Amino acid sequence: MIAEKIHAIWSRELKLDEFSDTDDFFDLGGHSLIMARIQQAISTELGIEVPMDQLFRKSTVATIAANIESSMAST
Amino acid sequence: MTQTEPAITTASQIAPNAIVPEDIAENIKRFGRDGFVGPIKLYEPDEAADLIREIRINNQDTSRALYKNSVNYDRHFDIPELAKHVTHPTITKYLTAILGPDVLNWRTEWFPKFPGAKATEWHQVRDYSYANGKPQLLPTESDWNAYIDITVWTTFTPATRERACMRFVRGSQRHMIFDEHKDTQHGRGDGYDVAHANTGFFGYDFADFMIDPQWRPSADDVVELEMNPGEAVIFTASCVHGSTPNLTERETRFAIAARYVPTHVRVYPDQDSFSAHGATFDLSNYGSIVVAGTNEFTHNRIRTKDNHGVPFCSAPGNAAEGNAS
Repeated sequence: MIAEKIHAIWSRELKLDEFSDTDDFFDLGGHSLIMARIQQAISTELGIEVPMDQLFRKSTVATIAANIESSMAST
Repeated sequence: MTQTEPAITTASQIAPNAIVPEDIAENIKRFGRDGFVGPIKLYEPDEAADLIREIRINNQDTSRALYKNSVNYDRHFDIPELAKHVTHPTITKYLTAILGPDVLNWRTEWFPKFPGAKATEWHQVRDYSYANGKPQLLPTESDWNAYIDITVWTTFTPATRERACMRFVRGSQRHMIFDEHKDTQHGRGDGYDVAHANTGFFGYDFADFMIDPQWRPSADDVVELEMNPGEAVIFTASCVHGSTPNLTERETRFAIAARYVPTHVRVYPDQDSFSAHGATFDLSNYGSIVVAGTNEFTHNRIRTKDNHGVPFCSAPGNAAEGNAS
């Protein structure tokens, strides 16, 4: 569920229709300015604050979603 | 070049006390002839990918940056990966083979080329007075015929013709094709964001400095240098250079330039601040870094630690007394 929402945000911000949840953000043409918009969108649409360093280090939809789910489970 | 016998007017002489190891002697010879040499591998591609990721992460926190600026000057003071990069042993090996044993790093700059970015026009820089009319470098022991300022431009992504690669006019360091001291209509004002400047040279139009407005390089002399992630090109900015555009739809090219001078060169002479590319830079906490040899001069501000308090990995005997921090 979270992965689907993040995938949709990436698709919108990267202007990309087809990509895998395991594709790396930077290999898809991402850069810092786009990641800042994604961070804002995750905050607005999912109500979750994800630090920028996590978004950069875990830069696939799958790993970001897993990280968020893990954080939610532990709180 | 159109001239048959080049007049020696700009940088063309290796320092008389240069230390040239045998394994790079041929490359130094090539540098002396062409004004640039590369690609030279500094990092494996995987290592370069890891570095750019960390640089991007650290770029999010600018609280320890030396100054706030959209051209990202001197981020080696707050980004540890860049603090280490400027003293890379392969870089210092080449620098001492060109400039002599005592070398300062005086600036770093970022050169991202985002998808769709236009080409960087031909330019030729000697003392950087194009920026605001004042020289930023002033040699004290040699004239301008010697190499005064060396740039090491390292790409952390592929730098291909399509994605923007550097290009040079081979041998042009021997000719004055641009004169930075000419007046210019663009660039020297402040308060603009270079990211949105639609000029040929990051807010400036370098064609304004062309001595002969009809000058065009001979196609035979133009070298487009494609590079892999982790590779560097070492050049004198007196060699006319520029870049191809980024024609890709979603592939950013990211490179970082580190600039070096021999210790006898005065950096930002008699200046407490300077303006360039729409920004003003307060030099209160600025200092050059001794990356090789020793500094026997007192005319430059020297920094021995980054903004985290970590010493730069430079040579022992780091600074002349009285001006180090």
